[in-house]
Amino acid sequence: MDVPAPSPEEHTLSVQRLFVQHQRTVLHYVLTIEPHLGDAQDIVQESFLTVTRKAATYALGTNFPAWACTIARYQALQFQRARARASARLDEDVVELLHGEAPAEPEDLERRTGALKACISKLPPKGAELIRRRYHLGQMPEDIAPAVGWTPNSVRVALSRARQNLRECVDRSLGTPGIS
Amino acid sequence: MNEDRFETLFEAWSESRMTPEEAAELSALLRRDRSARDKFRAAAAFRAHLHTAADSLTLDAATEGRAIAFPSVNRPLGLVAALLAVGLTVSSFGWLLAARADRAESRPLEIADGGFELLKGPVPAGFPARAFSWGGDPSEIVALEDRPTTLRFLEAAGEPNVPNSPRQSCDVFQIVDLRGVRDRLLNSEEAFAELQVSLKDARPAGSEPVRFIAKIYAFEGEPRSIVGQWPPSPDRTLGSGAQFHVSKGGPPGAWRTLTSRCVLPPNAGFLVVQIGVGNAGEPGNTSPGLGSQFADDVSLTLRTRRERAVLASR
Repeated sequence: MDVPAPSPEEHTLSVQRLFVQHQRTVLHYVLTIEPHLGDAQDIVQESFLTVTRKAATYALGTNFPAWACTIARYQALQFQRARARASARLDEDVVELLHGEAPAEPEDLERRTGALKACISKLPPKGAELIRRRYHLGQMPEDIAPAVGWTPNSVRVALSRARQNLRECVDRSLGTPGIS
Repeated sequence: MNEDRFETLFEAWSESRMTPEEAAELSALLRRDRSARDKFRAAAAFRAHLHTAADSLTLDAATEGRAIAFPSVNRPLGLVAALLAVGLTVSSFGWLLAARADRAESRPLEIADGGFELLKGPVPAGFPARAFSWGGDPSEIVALEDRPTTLRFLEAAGEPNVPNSPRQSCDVFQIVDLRGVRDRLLNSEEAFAELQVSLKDARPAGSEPVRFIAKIYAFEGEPRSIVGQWPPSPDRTLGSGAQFHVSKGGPPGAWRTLTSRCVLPPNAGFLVVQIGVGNAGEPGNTSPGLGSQFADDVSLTLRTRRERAVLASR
């Protein structure tokens, strides 16, 4: 007996559920194009709306992260065009060269995130605070500096050291020569 | 290029503070050097992992009942609101995002048939007679390239209710009732609506200029008060925002997004969304011939920020 095809509403809801399931992958992908955390989150929101609008064009069972990330890439380019920040941006053909490929597999993302969490937990308290301010709160060195009583350049140097420690820690943990 | 220079440029990119010269230098490097691209990808992915891991650690701390030693972030996160609105089970990540959305918020504002999937054939003529429906000058819904439904602007028309007004543009309108978000407006320190629309001029490059417009008007009162009263007198409008794009045609397949914003006072009762194309010359001139101009993917977003008093008490 044939299973009845889902109604358009059910199909859209299934696509929205898939987006929720993979939103971390989409955010990660967008952050490689738009490094500003708040803007990347805005782009993910806009991508959710576009995915909802275009849900009918997605065939259930096909590669959802790849489809959603393609939409997110165009959304990021649109965002950067329409709401260009004060700073300049990379040329669009370069963004396509850099990001035209499939996003990281969700399992790989989870594995690396898990390793990185463990490594952040091993940082000295000051290093962990800098990392969380910069990457959880999205603060820039100029915003972090007064909060920790340092100069912005000192914050940059300390962040650079913390990242280097984290890279080495993750490499050891996953047995890989580098993070990609 | 030496390692230090790459690091300098990458850091500038990652902090969104590149100068135009740095952007050009980094773009040129990445365009010509595959190993630089690989390095950039790896470094950008690592930074993205850091965001994900730092978020996840904070979520762990929150769900274990421990105090989080960092202030919550001030970002609009309407995705969570959108997900809640469609009744989805909120994942743990969604919970984290919701926890951060304590000051500013963005959420989709209802607009009917923003992708033009429901209308068939001609768009109803004239200014809409009710909220949440399209209406306007001669236009129709057609398929275009890979898009099954887009709005095609057919012919410019004069202003309704203004006899003998010049045929300057072809516009379609939708009235958006704000009743559903009135409480949010009343409790916001600031609020604005953001309109986005994708537009396309399918004529060859170098054609006679036309001007696209995406505009939002805010009004007090009930939507029915505007029916039959278009165009409105200037003193009726609480606020408006518009963005324009002058086009001389372009390469095949090129779509352009216009984004316009309109501040919403607490007493805003409804919006009118206008999308159109027409004369790009002196005001009052008639429009060039239309028929090759299209619009799609119309969306509205409400962005709000809570009261200062509420923030100060936190």
